[in-house]
Amino acid sequence: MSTAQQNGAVAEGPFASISRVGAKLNSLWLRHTYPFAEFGHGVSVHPSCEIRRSISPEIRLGNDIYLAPGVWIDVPSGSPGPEPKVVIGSGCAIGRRCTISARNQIVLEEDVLLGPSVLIMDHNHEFSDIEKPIHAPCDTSGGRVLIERNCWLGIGAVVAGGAGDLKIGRNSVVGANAVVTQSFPPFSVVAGNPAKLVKTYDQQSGKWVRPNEQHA
Amino acid sequence: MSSMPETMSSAISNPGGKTLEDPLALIERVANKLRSLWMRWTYPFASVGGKFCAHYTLDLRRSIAPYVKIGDEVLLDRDVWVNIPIIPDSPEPVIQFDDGVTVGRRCMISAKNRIHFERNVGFAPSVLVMDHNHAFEDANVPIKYQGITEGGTIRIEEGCWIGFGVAIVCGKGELVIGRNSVIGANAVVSRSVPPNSIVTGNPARVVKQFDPAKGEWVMGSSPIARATSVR
Repeated sequence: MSTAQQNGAVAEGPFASISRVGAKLNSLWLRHTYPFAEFGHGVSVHPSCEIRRSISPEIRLGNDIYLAPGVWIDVPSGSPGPEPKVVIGSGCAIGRRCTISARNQIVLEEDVLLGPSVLIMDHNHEFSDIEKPIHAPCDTSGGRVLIERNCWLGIGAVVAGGAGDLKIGRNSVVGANAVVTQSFPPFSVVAGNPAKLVKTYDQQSGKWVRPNEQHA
Repeated sequence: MSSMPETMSSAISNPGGKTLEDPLALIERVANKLRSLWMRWTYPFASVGGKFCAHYTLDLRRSIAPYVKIGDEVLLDRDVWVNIPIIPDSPEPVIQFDDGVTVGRRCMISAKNRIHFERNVGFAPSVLVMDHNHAFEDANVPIKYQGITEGGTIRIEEGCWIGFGVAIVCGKGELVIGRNSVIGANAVVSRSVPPNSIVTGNPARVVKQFDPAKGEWVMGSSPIARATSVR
């Protein structure tokens, strides 16, 4: 039943284009009917992504951003301040089922890559009061999260900002399933739960080395 | 208040008291069946066995099908993504599912060189298996423009069970997960695992191993396990 030629390229199935057309139409719909703070050109948002119309004024999307199926961008109600809560820079690619939930501000600079199932939150559930159910509508005030340009977060990574600012420096790599709750300098490779610095870029040799091997 | 649901539920359950499935659930079953048959008949797989079951949301592009080999009774569940980033030159299969492999929801399998799942390997949901990765050697170029690494090959031996959210990533060489091993939830595996081991954590470590002399699973602090520790 193998109808295709083994060497030549195999044509895509006709149903594959449905998803592509859906993403195109959905992006056009969002661009023209949602009051985004900014919606750059070449932004592709799959129809299965969840971005509510009511929060779209607090979201800035740069140019050429790709949001894979199942992405959820959320701004909880009652978030303070007028500035945009979620800022995604040009050229970012957000993997499947990623969740970005911002109460104060989450910024992704240019060309940041998120693998599938990444979670980025700048606040969390409040559980200090043992009398109240944790699910009560009360979040911690949280802080801010900044992920600088060219970073790459692997599958299942969690970036959970507490109070204050959490910054992941430029060109850093976060390993699969790592849990990041503190800032890391530029050019870091971090992995594990809790995330630890495992490699850093040595400008002298131009190589990625373990932190204790770095030239002073 | 309670009489209405009782009569309704008794009308659609059989006299034995067993609750019947919602007839609307049948729509999805039919969609899955049609998708499986459509793939079997129109996709140029390297080979495809009997009772191949693909969920209708499965993402497997037609262009990679010649490099995918599927055994009997293979299940690919909801939102599974099977990917080959670069179409290889040789006609060798790149991804091979042997008989009885079940891949859970939202799993992602991406192979550049070769990934082989032997018989009866079971996957929990949200597992990642990749034999390559993004290259990030050059700190001055955006990672998305640096392409992918050379990578290695992955072989998961017979009867393994891969827990929820596990990431299995092979940087280079061959990564083998020995037969009947268990990988605990959210573990990150980047080295080979010996047979009959239980591995957990990030980075993954052997926590228990089957001791054939005692005939039972023993804690990883025993000398056998220490000698064969993953890291």
